[in-house]
Amino acid sequence: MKYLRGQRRKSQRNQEYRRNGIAALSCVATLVLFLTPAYSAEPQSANPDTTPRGGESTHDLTGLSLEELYNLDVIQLNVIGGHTHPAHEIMFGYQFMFMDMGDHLSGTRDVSEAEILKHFPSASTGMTVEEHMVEVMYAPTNKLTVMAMLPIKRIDMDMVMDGFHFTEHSAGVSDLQVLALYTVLGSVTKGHRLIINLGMSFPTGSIDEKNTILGETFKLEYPMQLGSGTYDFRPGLTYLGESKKWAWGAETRTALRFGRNGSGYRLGNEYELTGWVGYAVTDWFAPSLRVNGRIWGNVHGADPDIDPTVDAEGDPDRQGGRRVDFLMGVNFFVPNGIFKRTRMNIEGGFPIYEDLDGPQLSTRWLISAGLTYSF
Amino acid sequence: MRDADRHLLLARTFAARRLFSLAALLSVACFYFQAPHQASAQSLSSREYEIKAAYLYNFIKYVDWPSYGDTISIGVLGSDPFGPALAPLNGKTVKGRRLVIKHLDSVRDAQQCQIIFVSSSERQRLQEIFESLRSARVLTVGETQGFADGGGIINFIEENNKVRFEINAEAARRTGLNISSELLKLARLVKS
Repeated sequence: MKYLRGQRRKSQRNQEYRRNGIAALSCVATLVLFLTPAYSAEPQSANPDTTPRGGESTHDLTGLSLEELYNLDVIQLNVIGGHTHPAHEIMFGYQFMFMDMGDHLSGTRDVSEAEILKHFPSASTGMTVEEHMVEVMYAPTNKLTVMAMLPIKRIDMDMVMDGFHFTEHSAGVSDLQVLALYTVLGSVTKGHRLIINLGMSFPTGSIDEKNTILGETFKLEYPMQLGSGTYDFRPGLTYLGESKKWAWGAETRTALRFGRNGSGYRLGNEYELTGWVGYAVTDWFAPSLRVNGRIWGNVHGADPDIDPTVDAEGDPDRQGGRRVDFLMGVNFFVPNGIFKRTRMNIEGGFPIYEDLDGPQLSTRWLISAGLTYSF
Repeated sequence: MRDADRHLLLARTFAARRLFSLAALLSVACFYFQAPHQASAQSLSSREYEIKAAYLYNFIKYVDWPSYGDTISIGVLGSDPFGPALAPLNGKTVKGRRLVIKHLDSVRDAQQCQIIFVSSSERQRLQEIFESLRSARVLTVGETQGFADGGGIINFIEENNKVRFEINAEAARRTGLNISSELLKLARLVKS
């Protein structure tokens, strides 16, 4: 009982965590909305070199010497842009992501815990996924950027069984991803780029996560495992558009999985389509909007150590879904000084559409933050 | 908690979430759709042409013509890629002479200019243009691959996110123009 009381306190802490997250998300949204009007009031005459003509503005660079012109970047690095890197540039980055899940859906229909408990002896009541990702990028040429990303995950799922509440927990390294981004059309200076992404993920994440509750050790359900257990092919296509003030783009990402992992199953394929627009209010600040659509399939095969009759999360046929997220972000860039070329972004959002092969926990909100440094 | 209460709570939570989503969407949409969209039309290429316009201005300082009139004219032949980028040059004084920007209808008008910027829209008739300007003391500047090899004097090229240029010194000599060593030092030299 002492253990269960401890678990209940943990559950309450998780709920508090979620409430704090919602508050943080609201802060991001408010910041975006508060700072965005600043750009519409941006004075064209603020720059003394600007010569308005016919509603357009231009910068008079005739004051620069020949050498200065010779070394002037056509695209000045600012808060928008990025994604790929000029030749021989190295980037180190850290990304944080937090996702809060609760309320069950089956298809698009709300399902109560009581309804789930009619079919399963236990039911999830909430879940949080926390991810820390370190990444490194290097550009051998202007057209090619290679990158490696290693996520570290912490997953907590609150459960209820016979009126007792407890929390399942897993944490550790997830699957290592290695990607190559190759610009096939356009360039930074043209303002449009089409980039092919080819990548692989390696099964460095555990698929053997277990918990011991009330003296009984059991294997955690599929969403609680840290990796896929398979070598996955990750092709994608990115379109990037950039103007002086605007950046926009669209990207497809996929995870194509083959064979079976060591536990006798493979996760479903994932298909993702995302589109975004950002506006550089200043050289160092840009709010952005993004819509992200994702389809992921059910588990193929089954892990014999996971009992599909105990809870819905253990059923291979209740893992797939479709979701569209709406995300708002703020992006910061350091153009000068000791932290020159450091980028920071915070983005938060929530699903505007969700259809799950459930009952499954639906996503309430998600937030991410990133910090990168290039040299 | 009774089932009915739980359902009511779920329904309220969901309704609140939907309301929050809708409010956020509407607020953001309002801000973005009232935005000054000319910014999106102002492509990155405008900066490229601001740099090229400044180069044209600088070239005058580093090139000597056999003779000058009261003004120095820069003519743009073909479709004008500069947009407003050449406007700040108009009326400036270089080498004690007023700078004039002209948009040329035909290569015949080019004879009156010191510098002709040949737009990439003219790439099909470059040889014809060079032929027409053979006896003219005109600094031909282009931005088309093969422009300098084909007989033009200065050609803008893109290199590592920078605007650089190549010079056909032989073509300059033929035209009677004297290009300073400082300009030649920065250029990639090509031959006809």
